[in-house]
Amino acid sequence: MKSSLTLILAILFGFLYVFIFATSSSGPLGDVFAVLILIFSTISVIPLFQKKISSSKKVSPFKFVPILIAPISIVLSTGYLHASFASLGMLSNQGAYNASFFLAILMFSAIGTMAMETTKKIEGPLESSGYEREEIERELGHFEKSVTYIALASMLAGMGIILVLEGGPIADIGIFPAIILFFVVYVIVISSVVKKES
Amino acid sequence: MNSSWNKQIIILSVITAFIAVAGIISTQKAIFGSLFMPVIFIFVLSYMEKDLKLDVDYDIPKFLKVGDEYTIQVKVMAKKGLGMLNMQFPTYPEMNILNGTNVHILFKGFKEREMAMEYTIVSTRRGIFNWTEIIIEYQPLIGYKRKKILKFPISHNIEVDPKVKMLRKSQFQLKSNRVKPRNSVTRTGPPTHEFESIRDYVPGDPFKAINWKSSAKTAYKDNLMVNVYEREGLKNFIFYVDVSPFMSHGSSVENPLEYAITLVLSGTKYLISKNYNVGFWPIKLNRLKRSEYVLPSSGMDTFNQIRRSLLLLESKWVTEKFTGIGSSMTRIMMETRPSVMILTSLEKGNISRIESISRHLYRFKVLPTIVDIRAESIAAKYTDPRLGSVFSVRNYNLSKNRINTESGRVIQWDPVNESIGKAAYKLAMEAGW
Repeated sequence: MKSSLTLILAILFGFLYVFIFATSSSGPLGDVFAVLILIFSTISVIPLFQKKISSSKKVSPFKFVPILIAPISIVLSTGYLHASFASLGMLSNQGAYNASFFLAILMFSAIGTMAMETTKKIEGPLESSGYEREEIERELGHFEKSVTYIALASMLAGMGIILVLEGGPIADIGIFPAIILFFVVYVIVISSVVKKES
Repeated sequence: MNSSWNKQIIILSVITAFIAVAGIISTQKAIFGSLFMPVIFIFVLSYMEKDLKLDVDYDIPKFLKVGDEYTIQVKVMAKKGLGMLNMQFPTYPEMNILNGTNVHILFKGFKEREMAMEYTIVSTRRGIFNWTEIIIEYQPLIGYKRKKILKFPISHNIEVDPKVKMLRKSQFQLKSNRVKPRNSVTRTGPPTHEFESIRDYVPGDPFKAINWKSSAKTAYKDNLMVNVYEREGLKNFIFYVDVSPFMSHGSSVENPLEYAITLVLSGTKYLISKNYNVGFWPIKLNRLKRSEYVLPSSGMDTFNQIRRSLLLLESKWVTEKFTGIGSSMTRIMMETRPSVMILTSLEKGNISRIESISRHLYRFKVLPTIVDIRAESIAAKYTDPRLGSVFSVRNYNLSKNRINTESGRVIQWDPVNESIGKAAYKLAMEAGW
């Protein structure tokens, strides 16, 4: 696939960015989290380069781990838990802020990995079922590109919204209405995704 | 594709919820901001996947001949929707794909897609077959269990004609060593001046045929008498094809029955060109449908009727004992005494039946030519191609399959080692073509 190199660069770019911003203002324990993110992000892309193993195994169980580590480190360094346990010395508030901002890039990277995994997983069975090699590469390349463009557009839109929220006037609606509003939007979106077969 | 991709999307949604909870605990505004990205991503995918519109245009044949190549062209136009189209284009039993493939994938992205596909097929066996449907499986980019299967049925069948070898008259210039039946003539030819008999007048008889002297002598009968003259008719020839399972030894595309069908069609075409009346019967002991046999006649209509009957001919077990050749064939035998050619593959299991049929035909003073299509070399060819020539008629001991020669003249044909032209040459000598 022609877009594979673009995707790999995007993945590394995302993970490295998180790593840089996390370490710039973090304590020793924060560095540990950042290193963990880097390790798991690297492990998660390894199956994409394995050609000899069967195509059904070309899925990384680790690709979402960096996304999970990032909020854990942010939670431990700020907020209610941080206040309760006093200073744990992991990340500074500024570092946690930057890390959370670039969580969007981390997700873009994970979506890129997912698209690549899907293509790697299905191209073998398709070829053995009589589909033409050139056609498989061309159409799965279209799939990868489309997913990447949509994810990129979503990431930019998400970041734009963050900047608008940061720069614009704050709507003082309180924490509970905000939570309710979020879950209403979340449920609407998820229910449209997980529909039963019509 | 859909299941693996959708599982990951669902996991991504769960992680998004986890981040939302983490955002609440951490009190970081930016962490809520990062949630917009997956939410927008999933929303865009689920919005765009709806309302797929497909147009399918195809060029699929109705008629082919065995061995003919045909390039099938299919054009698919996809509008709206977002997902993978997994397409399976029509095939039918007993065909091979020579070039290309009948399965394709097409990813419908943001833009309209149009894709023209083609694949070349070759028919391996005659028959009338149903095309399979065009099946297009639409797997939206997101949407668990929402795979749609769209079916486009093909409105017509395909008729695959057997091969016909063009036999030239120059191949049979040698004089036959058999005496042909003089009176295997049709009832419909013009009368000659050769007196045959005298009988009662029936309406429609020409006045010049009335025998006035004889009518005067038999005036007490109150009826006129007419002379009957021999008719200058066409010769009748009947192909009688065995359809017992012994005729299907080999493969479904190459067996004695398939060779018999090619020989019958080639012979029919040749005999019709020589002004014969040609008929066809399958050797079945149960009652035949009208479409299964063809009464002797001439012209291309007869050729087409025989072709249609042969298209659907299949071998079948027959358990009943032979009791007769059927009323329609009996009538033809009695009235025209045609030349009969039995096409079979003689084995222990059917030899007594063929002998019974031959003896039965002999009652009408018809001595059939029995073409024994040998299956040994066909079967050997499929075991090892080199064995095909080892098991030729010359090398194989056929004494166990000897038929009583008084019942008919047996000609053995080894189709792997003898071309249909050579077989036709032998038949011309023996059967008097």
